[in-house]
Amino acid sequence: MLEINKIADPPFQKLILIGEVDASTSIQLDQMMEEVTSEGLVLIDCTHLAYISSAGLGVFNAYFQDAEGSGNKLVLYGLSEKIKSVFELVGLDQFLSIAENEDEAKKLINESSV
Amino acid sequence: MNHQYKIPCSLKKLEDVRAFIRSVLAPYNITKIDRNNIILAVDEVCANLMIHSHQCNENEFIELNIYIKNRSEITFEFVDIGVGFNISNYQEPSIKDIVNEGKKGGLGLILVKKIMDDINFSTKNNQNTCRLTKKINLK
Repeated sequence: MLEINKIADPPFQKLILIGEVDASTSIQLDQMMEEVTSEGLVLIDCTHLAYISSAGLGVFNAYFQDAEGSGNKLVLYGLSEKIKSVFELVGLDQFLSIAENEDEAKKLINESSV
Repeated sequence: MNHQYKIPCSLKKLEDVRAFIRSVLAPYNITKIDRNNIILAVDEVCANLMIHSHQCNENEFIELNIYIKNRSEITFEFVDIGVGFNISNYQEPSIKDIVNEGKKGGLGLILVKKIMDDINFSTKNNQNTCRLTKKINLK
């Protein structure tokens, strides 16, 4: 089960992920990411993300590359130790923008979009 | 203690598979991260088989057997019928290529290889068996 809440917090679009991202629910995430990444700066709140498999990592990877290419920015934050360890296992934490919390995430976007 | 689970090839069932593995691991005192990693590796192999070998046809099944040996080793055995995918011969792409090309796929088997200590694949008379073994202290 995955619930995605979208909140407009100009100039940011914030997605709050609640539940689990696997090969089934990643389709929902993919659609939502396509929508928000076309709208500008994107923050992904992972505080309530309980599980992620490679399908979810792949979606973040794809849109992260798109976002960087088009000048839009994408930052994830609030990852639990368990979720962070999955990013670290494949080494994706080295390539994506990951912040501790929302404030840090906004700062990271502002710095990199200047 | 051994366990068995018959999994319909539908991605919607992955959630149930994870709940089953969680219940199998529940009696053991292992770290949260190890627990999650083991569940993740099983999830990845199931999703792969469902998509690539069974085209997510929920009338087809994967049999999952779990063997726990000497409280020091856990083996997940996936048995299915059809054209098999030899995961142990699979040459994974590098993470750099996946990142540079913005790929969605290719990360699953990297995860499985990182998590498990041994991956073994065999096929006989159209029946494929994939075994993942993790050496772990199951107190």
